[in-house]
Amino acid sequence: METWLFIVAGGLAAGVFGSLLGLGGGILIVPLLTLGLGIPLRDAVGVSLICVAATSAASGAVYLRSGAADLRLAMTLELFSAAGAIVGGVIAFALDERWLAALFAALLLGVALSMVRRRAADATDVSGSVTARDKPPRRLRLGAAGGIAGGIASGVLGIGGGIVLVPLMHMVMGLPLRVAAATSGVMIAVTASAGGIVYLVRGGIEPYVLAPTALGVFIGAMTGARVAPRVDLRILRALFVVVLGYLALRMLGRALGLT
Amino acid sequence: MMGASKVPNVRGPELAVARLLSRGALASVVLFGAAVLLMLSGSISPLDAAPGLDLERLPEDLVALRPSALAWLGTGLVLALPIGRLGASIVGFARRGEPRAAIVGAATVLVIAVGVVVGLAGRS
Repeated sequence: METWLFIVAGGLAAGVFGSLLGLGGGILIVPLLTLGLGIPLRDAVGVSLICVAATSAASGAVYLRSGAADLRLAMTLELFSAAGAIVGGVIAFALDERWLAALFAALLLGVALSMVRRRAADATDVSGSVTARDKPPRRLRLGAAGGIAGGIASGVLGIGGGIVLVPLMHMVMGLPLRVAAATSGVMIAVTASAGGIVYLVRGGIEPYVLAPTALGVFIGAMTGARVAPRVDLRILRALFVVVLGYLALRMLGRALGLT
Repeated sequence: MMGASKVPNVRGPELAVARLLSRGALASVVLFGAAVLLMLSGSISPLDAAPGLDLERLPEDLVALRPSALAWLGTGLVLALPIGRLGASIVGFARRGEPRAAIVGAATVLVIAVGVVVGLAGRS
């Protein structure tokens, strides 16, 4: 029964935190399953990709209805991020689990550092009313290259790739942050699915782990979206940085064979 | 993240795609939820070994309400949704006289198909 509670509560927390902080749940799902339940890292990545794809499909629908996401740009970049995710999936099956753990620890540390540096202005920009039609993207070739990088990160680490795609579209391609976040949100389903297919075909997805995790993450993400306007994100972000730092250390310990 | 305060006039492929995504995502979560209920009623732990995906046996397992079958169906639906989304976009953009966007969408479907082949090729 403890396993059930842990997996559902963990999935809910990953969904709520991910939704509130604008991250896919993957960055929490993988450590939750691996460090908390002892599930092999590669299986955790496979489960995470399906969870991320499911929640991204739902959030993508909201972004498209609101007009915030640029569907044409999403489709263009998806071509590259999907290819990258397939390559990432293949890399993940070729890498030793310790290397995967080391890469994940680096990802956790990177996200924690970016959250420390993130300014409050970002959050207000995201909640603005700008739409995808207001500003066309530029530097498409760089965007395509970044799309491949985001896809590889997704396929190797079980994340949506938004951590690469949002800054890429915002800072390199010149899109307003809200449009970049929304367009990335639409793209993630295709990116995660492309990687997820490699894991599915190679037997890297555990259905008994997936079902409760996906249910928890989905409900958590919906709840997070509803409570977001009433939550003080500064406190939440500080708490999250501590959690990410702790998880990074544990994951590093795993990479070094200490746990 | 998912809340949209202002709804501008969005038409064409975007709306059709949004409808497909939201309904499909909900259906997949219902399937996962049903799998969880069946696991609980059958005293199956999430850490128990699950049967692998067997497409030939899947219909029979679904009729027998085996939790793994429902979870596999939910997984298949999640993975099929983006492909369906691309299909709806391709049709929508082609109808609106935007062949370039339709071709890009078709190329992405092709890339995903390559992913299936690559995955199968790497299976031991």
